[in-house]
Amino acid sequence: MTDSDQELLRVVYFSRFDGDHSDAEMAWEIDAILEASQRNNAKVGVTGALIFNAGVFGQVLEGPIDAVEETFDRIQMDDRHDDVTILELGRVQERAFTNWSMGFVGADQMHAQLFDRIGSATHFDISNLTGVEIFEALYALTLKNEIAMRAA
Amino acid sequence: MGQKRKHNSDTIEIATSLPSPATASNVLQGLLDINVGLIAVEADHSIIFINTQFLSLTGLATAQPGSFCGQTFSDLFPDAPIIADADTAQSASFTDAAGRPWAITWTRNPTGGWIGTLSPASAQPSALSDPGMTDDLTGLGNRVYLRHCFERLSRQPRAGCPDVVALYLDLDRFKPINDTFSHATGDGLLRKTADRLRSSLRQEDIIARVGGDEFVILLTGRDDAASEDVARRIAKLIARPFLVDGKQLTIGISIGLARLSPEAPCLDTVLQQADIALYESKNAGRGGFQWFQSHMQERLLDQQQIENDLKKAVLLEQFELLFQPQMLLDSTKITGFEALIRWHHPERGLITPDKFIHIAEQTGSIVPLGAWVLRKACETACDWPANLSVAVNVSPVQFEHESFINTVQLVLQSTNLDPSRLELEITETALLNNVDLVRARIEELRAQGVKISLDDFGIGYSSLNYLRQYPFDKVKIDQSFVREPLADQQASHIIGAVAQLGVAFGMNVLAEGVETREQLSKIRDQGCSSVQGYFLSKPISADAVDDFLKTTGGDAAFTTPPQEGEKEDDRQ
Ligand SMILES: Cc1cc2nc3c(=O)[nH]c(=O)nc-3n(C[C@H](O)[C@H](O)[C@H](O)COP(=O)(O)O)c2cc1C
Repeated sequence: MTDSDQELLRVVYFSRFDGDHSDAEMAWEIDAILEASQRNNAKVGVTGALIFNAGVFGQVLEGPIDAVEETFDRIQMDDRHDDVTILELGRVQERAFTNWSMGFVGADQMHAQLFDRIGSATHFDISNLTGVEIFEALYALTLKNEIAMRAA
Repeated sequence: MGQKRKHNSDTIEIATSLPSPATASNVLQGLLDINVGLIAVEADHSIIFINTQFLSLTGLATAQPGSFCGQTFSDLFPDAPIIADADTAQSASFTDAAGRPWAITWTRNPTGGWIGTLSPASAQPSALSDPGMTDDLTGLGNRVYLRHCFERLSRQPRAGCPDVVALYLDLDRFKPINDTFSHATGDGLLRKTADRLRSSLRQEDIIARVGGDEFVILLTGRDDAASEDVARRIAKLIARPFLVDGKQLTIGISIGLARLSPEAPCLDTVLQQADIALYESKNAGRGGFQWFQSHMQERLLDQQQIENDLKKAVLLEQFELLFQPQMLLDSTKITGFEALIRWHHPERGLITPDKFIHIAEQTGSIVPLGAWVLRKACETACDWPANLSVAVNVSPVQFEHESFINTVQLVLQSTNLDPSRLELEITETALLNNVDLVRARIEELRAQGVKISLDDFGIGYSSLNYLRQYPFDKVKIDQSFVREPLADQQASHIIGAVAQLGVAFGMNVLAEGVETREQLSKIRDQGCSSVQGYFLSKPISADAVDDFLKTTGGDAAFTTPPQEGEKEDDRQ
């Protein structure tokens, strides 16, 4: 995909997983989210990453403005989460995430060395991170390719 | 159905799937009486079974079900399309003799022919393809569409009026966004709002955009609790951030609900009720919803009555001005009076300004009314000693009106009052909009010698910055600060801060609503230069001013505090 001729938008947000769910239910929902993201985002040229930990989502979306806005609004309407808070929003020249790399990070899969810059692995709380930190955390994850890829 | 057994499979199948003859007739009777419209036709479309519900819904209940056997479906409903010879289920629409629209779904009967189930035709036009019914911006329906859908709903047969709840929706804070950003952004926001609204509804719900940022939704088949759920969900979803043109925008939505009822039997009345409820919901704080209640209507009627009466009252001069003295603290000299308006309503008696000024502002009557007050106040002041000034309240609407400066000049000329004896009191609200215009007006009036005070300082948007930004001659600290218990540290800090700033900028700082000697000495300690309030005197009639000045000798040090029970709100 060439992005040179169109403006790109990047949004970083976090939100809270809504309601009480068993681990199995959560895993199931997250699978469904990853599946939908994989399927839909590629079609409209949206890339980015999703992180999930301790009941909180962090997500980066990048792509053509209209596509990102449309995707974001669809996500906004999702009842599975609430309190969507935008941490970063702005035009960018280049994508940081050239592929769609939705990653799932469960607390158990946290590796201290991966997140040593942003705090102890046991108390990793996305909601306390700034947009840049979420962005960097996700970026580090994808670069090191150590995430548990759920989406096939 | 389970796997066939290897042996005796036929007998087993039959035994488990077909009822015994006795049960079969029970089932048949049940199908005849069930409250779903059912019909069965042969391969040649002749009717072999039709149930009572089907007949009563389509207005044919006068005849026995059996009497239709042998006729074809098109004999009964000539506009029904011929059933296609297809294996898949097919839907068709037709109208009955009374013109009511219906939908029927035909499923092939494995033993031959078809079985049809009846359902009300969807109230929505099959697709929003008619450009005359579509709102171009959002792709939702428009008013014409709304009416069209409502009429279809009304034609559907049922006992009583259709089960419809109307929601009137209006965006909160849309206008500032539309003004601040480009109109393209505003349009984008409306489009996304429409998408969110649509996706929070069911297929059969009806939605239309009926004004700039106003929408109407008609819900069917929802009880009150379910309707509230819809309203709550919409309020929640619309309050979430929007991304438009790469910008983050946040708005809210207020909703009024009303149910179609014998009291509100048609679209216009139910929408009017929902709109009234919306108005109340806005007033109660945005982002919520309210059901219409009849007292809302009374209040609105009351308000409309006052609106009409106000217009007359301006012509008939049913108003009176009272005057409340203001005193300079260090000399205890009376410096002037604030003119306060009262309305002597022929039927309702005395009405205080808090009950009618906001209505006059909404309807525009404030402009002639304000001009009357200005003239009357200046005329009255001409009879006073030349060292006394008169303070006149000016509503923001009046102040921003194009005629305002002109009116002031005309009144000053015709009454011959020295401009420096006129003090115009404006409130913080006036400073919020139109900053440039307001500043220009203040400067123009001051250039002519007129004094400008900032009134009710401390309530509302209060910013000490206003004192820096605008050249006021006087700032009046709202009475709520003076009346706070003396122990209230914060109130007293605010008075102190305002007094200091005021003095630093060369303004006279007046404390309103001073009632007791204790408050007076406190106010003095904090550095205020003037006071007004019951401690000095309640508002008095123009005729009483003379006597007041005589008894006090223009020196208010000896006045006594008012008697208990005489107190009233000084702002009136
Ligand atoms: C935290 C979170 C992130 C999501 N991210 C995406 C996404 O990037 N792309 C996407 O299409 N759907 C995403 N979804 C799912 C959407 O909300 C929605 O369910 C989905 O797009 C529906 O797609 P479908 O109709 O094609 O199944 C996300 C949901 C949640 C809760």
